[in-house]
Amino acid sequence: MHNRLSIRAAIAGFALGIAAGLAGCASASPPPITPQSTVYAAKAAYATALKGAVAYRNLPACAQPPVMPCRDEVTLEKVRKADVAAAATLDAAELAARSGGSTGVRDDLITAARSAVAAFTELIRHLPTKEQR
Amino acid sequence: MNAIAYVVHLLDVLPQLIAAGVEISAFVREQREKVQRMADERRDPTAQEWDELNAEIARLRGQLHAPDGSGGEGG
Repeated sequence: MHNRLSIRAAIAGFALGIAAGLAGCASASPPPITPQSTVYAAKAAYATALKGAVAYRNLPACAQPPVMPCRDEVTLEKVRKADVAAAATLDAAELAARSGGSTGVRDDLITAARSAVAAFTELIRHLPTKEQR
Repeated sequence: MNAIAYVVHLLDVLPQLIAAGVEISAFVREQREKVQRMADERRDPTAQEWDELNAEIARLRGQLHAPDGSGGEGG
């Protein structure tokens, strides 16, 4: 039982480390100063969250009853759908930022991209790591 | 599941989780340094920086969306 508790503590520490890393990338980065660097920073934060998503995807599928850590297929599908939405929004923002088009449209796309990254990052930070759904 | 089986399950999964954590920490550090450098130099990302980041994203998305058991490992 002691070993089980120690390992659970290790997993909790890992999860906190991931969360801190994601939070650091999302909120503690220096303020970007150009539209391109803003989108680049958003994409870097998204890529960081993607790494967490891939780690979750690579867990063994949950059995019945689930033994954590494991991958829940319904949750994974939510992550994949959120990723598709975030990637499309970020690519549109990158295109607008790099092509130097209309400022208003570009700024709207950048705002949308930052929101999409924030939503995706929050989803990854709260992936289930213990017996709760 | 008894305690032994649970520990065996964790031993199977932990190296993957720990490796992912280490890789994420290194990636966060690397990206923060790049963005900081761009801000310090008051410049846009270079084409090469865009290409490298987009290639990494494409690689990760390929793994995330890969069907189970078809090469998603290696995060």
